[in-house]
Amino acid sequence: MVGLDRTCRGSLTLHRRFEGEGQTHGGCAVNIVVKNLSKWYGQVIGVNNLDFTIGPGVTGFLGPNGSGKTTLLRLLTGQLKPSKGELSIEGVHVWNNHKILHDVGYCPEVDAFWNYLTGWDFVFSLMRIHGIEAGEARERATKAIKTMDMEEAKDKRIGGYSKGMRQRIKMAQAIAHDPTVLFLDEPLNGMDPLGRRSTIDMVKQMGKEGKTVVVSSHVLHEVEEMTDTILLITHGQLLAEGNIYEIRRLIDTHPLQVTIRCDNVNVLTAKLLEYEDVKSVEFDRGRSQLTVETNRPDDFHMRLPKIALENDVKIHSLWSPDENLEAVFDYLVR
Amino acid sequence: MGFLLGFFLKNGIHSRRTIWMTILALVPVGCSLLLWLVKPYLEREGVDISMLFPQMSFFLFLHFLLPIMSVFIGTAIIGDEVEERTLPYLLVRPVPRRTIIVAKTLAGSVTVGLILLVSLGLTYTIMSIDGGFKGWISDVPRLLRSMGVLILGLLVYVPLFGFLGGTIKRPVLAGLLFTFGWENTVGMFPGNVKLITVVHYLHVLFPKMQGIQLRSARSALLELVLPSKQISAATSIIVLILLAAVFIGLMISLLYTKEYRLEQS
Repeated sequence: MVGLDRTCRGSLTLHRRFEGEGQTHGGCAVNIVVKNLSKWYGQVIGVNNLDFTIGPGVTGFLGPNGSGKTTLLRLLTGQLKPSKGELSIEGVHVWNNHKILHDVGYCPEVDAFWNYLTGWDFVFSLMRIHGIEAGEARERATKAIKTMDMEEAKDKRIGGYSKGMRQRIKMAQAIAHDPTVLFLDEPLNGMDPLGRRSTIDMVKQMGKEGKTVVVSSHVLHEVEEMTDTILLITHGQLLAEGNIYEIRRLIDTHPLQVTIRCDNVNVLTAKLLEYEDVKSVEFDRGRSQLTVETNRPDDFHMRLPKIALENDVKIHSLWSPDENLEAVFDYLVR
Repeated sequence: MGFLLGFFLKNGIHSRRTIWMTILALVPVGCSLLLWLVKPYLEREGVDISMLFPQMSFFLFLHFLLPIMSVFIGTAIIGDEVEERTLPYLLVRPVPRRTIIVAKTLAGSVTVGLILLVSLGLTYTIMSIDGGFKGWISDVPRLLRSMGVLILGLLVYVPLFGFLGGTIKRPVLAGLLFTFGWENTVGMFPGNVKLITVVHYLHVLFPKMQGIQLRSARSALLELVLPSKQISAATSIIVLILLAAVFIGLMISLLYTKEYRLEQS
């Protein structure tokens, strides 16, 4: 089932929406509803006319720096008041409604702390501020710190933490009260590989447990590892939403790049350039490979074996570097 | 609320601002020590240093330390969390914003209050030390009354500057201009215009200084032409409490209506 909502920028289709397989909220309860949401600061638009829903599972907000992801997360966590439109979590409006925040966790992007506190004090204090009794807060802080693999450093002052440790302790305070809705703003920023891995695994696990996890990032492969359900945001607007592969399929005009390694680069290049849909061919004789950009990927794939056979070209390997999220993202925001 | 208050008090203790304010509060203690050291010379001139305490408490505490510390602590109530970018940790919690504001205001007031009261107590003790315990105890009511007035002053000034801190761009400068410009100038005017200053109500409550003529001959003459409305101590207390409530209310409304855009890292 595909529903399209297209706004064209030149020849590019910007905003597509679809429901169906791969959608976290396909058939599930919708936790977050955003309707015609806009936020502007004077003349500056933070986010513009956003309209989407998010259900249980992991959803990625993707976009370059300054695209409006952080503004959107601040709106979703009730830190900012919408200029227009509305947003709700579990059917309840967020702005000026502290009660809804009982089940919300938030890991801000800013690298800011009360630096004199130890990691444990930081998480424990925020649990107490959250309204959790001292005994339970102690347990939860200890558990969250263990989950984030910060046990060894928990008694050191945050001021002496490395960037990765600061990210992890920030994550610990976001998950310690076991929220059902979790907002993570660039959570992997500055984390060491081990921390990244455990955070990614944790986020995926939370998604599997039916929690609603929203992760924002400008580093696409990171989000790709956590989820394939994304919202692409740029200039405060929703560019696309849904499963990245579904989006990819919908982008019928997206020039697909295919890299081919073969034994006769010159002949294959010449033959491929005879077709209108082939926009460009770059070849590298030394590595015996060429990269083709085509507007009609399906036609290209059907045609290629025939060309190879007729011209006695032996194809060793073929792959599309485009198939990852980064390529789609680059294409969409270009 | 109790935990938040303790948390903010702990934050306050660890802030550089508190260290600077403590150093500033040592100024009158140092002055009184100096006076005590030069006491023999002063006595030869017929000056009893224990009689100087009212002047010191009036000028150094009521007119200098109270407003300046209130400016620095008040403007930091919201400003600190915004500047340090720690506000999201507090706002994305199921805590009413008014609780955060009241706890921060109380914590700030308690911190400054303790510094001021300890400093005032030490100053008083040094200046009355020669009279022994009897001499020390004799003027304690004056000391306690001065302390009470300082606390009332804090309860008005801290939220007032807290409100300024949340609304304007250079709150410290504005606060200093307000205290040392408006309050100290208009507060000394003859007539009833001084009723629109906070310090006037504090003057009414503050222990009177003996043998000290604050007003010049010209201002005394003006006072005759423009007589001031006499305010009772009870009225002053009510006005000050009302002002404190209004400024705390304004601060709370600010956090409910104003958004804080934090700089991104």
